[in-house]
Amino acid sequence: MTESTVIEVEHLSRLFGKFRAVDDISFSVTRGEIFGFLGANGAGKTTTIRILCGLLSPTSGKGRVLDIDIGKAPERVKPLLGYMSQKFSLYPDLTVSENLELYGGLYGLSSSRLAQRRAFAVEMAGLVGQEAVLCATLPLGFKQRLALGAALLHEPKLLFLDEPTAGVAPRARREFWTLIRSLASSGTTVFVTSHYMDEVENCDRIVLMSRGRIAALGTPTELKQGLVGRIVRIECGQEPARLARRLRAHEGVVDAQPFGSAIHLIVAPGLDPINHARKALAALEEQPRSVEVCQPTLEDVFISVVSGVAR
Amino acid sequence: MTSGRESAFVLEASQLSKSYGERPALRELSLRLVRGRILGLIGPDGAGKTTALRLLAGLMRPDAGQILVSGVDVARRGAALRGLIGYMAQAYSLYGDLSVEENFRFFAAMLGVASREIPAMEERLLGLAMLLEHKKKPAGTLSGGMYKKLALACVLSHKPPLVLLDEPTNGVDPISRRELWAFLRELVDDGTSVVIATPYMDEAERCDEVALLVDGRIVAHDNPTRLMAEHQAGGEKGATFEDVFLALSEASSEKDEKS
Ligand SMILES: Nc1ncnc2c1ncn2[C@@H]1O[C@H](COP(=O)(O)OP(=O)(O)OP(=O)(O)O)[C@@H](O)[C@H]1O
Ligand SMILES: Nc1ncnc2c1ncn2[C@@H]1O[C@H](COP(=O)(O)OP(=O)(O)OP(=O)(O)O)[C@@H](O)[C@H]1O
Ligand SMILES: [Mg+2]
Ligand SMILES: [Mg+2]
Repeated sequence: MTESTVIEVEHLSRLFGKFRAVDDISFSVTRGEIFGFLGANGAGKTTTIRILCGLLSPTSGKGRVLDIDIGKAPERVKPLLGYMSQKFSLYPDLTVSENLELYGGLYGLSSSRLAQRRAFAVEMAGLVGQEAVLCATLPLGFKQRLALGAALLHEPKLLFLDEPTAGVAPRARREFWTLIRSLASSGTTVFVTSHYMDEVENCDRIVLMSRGRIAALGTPTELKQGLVGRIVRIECGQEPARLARRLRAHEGVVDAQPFGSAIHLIVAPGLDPINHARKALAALEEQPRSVEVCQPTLEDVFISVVSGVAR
Repeated sequence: MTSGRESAFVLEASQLSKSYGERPALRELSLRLVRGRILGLIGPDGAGKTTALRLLAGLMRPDAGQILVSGVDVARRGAALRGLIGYMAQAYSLYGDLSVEENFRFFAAMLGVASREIPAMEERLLGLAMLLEHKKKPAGTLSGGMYKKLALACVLSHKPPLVLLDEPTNGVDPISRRELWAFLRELVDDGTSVVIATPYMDEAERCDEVALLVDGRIVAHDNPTRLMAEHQAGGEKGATFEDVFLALSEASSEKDEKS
């Protein structure tokens, strides 16, 4: 473990009965990184986070978080990190201020430090002047920013965010990621899960989990590399959803999805994409307006990697 | 027994208003939806999407206005609505100590699905939700997204003429979201109509029509391709649907502040 390594995981597994929720994963995270932890529902993301936060014990394998062995001293790691859980973490019937005081108390902050940190959190959440508002009535985007503020009260060096933007509208999501980026640039390490493939472009590195295992790991650019030249955009005008469904059944087509009036088609590796798309269309007696190769997105990567492993 | 007049519209809501205390959450909202279409309800957090859906589902009374579902007045025909509307709340709950399949069977039976049809529906919907191999797990031990998908499978187990879904895909992974949309298309091809609130702009783009709600008002309602085209005509080439959404919602909240 080098000085800049914040998380180091080796052959970590967690079973529930006979079910392997986390199955022999290894990776490490360095200081100041935004580390995206992605994967299908049930892939083991939350379970991994709970282990790394010292809330759940691993069945086997090793994990060091901020230089502490989580198998041996999980209670020592808890106060050092910030954690926003996938389920709601604020009390709806308390005000903005009361929620922060409650968390500050849990972290054992002195009253002068709490006052100072509370002011920081309110400001960061964009809720100055709204300290007396009940959390239940805040729009979701603000609730999530406040929950982030609460997780940062004790100035942790490492932050776990489990789907912090689920259900948040586009503008508020962009603002949330601006906060994440500024935290990371000031040296906080951010471990984050999300099902929005557009926002995870902001991550420095990404893990793609599937069925408890790591199916891919790399920077967004590295992950997309494998699909360059394999994605075809078909302008078809009429009923893209129906045509996409029929194309999906065609051999050599990994996936076909409607995007507005067009279709994105992923061809199997080694095939000439345009030729193959044209062949598939001809077999269905369809005449598209245009067929061209396009740039892969992380969503394309997710679909091809995760469904490739699952099927 | 009045079955209501025959109407081309599955849903006709006119001039709906609703306030919580002093605060207006919906202002004179009118919507009509023809059979076999998907209407996306989008808007910033707190715009009134959930309020609108709860009114349409007959779970809450509007302060003013009227709602007809398949010609039936929602205010007057509470009990008859069960067969007409399928509703999935933004926060919903299942029986945590019952298994996945027990939950599904329980809700399907409660929603009036004939018992001989339940096994086929179960295979289909739990398959789509990728939950078949987790059938025996207690719902309380599912991951966040798996739980959400099970709730959705339960709601879709009967085929009512109108399905109202409040952010059904929050926390659902990209693969399952696609499966779900393919399934919604099939339902709609069979004549079901869907109103879906969603924070995902790619989902909004997949709808037949989109209503944009800002501060309790519908500020735009059109086919997504046309909304895009109109906006691009205003200058910005290469604008995404998200850009259109942001521009439209900002323009209308500025107007609000001035008035
Ligand atoms: N206490 C438990 N008992 C039994 N199984 C469990 C328990 N907790 C989690 N699991 C199972 O472990 C698997 C992984 O769950 P986890 O919550 O880690 O998934 P996730 O990747 O976070 O998914 P999501 O994207 O839906 O949040 C799931 O199959 C889940 O049912
Ligand atoms: N039970 C309630 N009591 C008081 N105010 C409420 C209540 N429910 C909603 N509101 C307020 O009414 C407005 C509309 O809320 P609604 O939940 O309909 O919005 P939404 O568009 O569904 O938001 P979100 O995207 O966060 O789900 C908001 O300002 C909200 O704070
Ligand atoms: Mg999770
Ligand atoms: Mg809502």
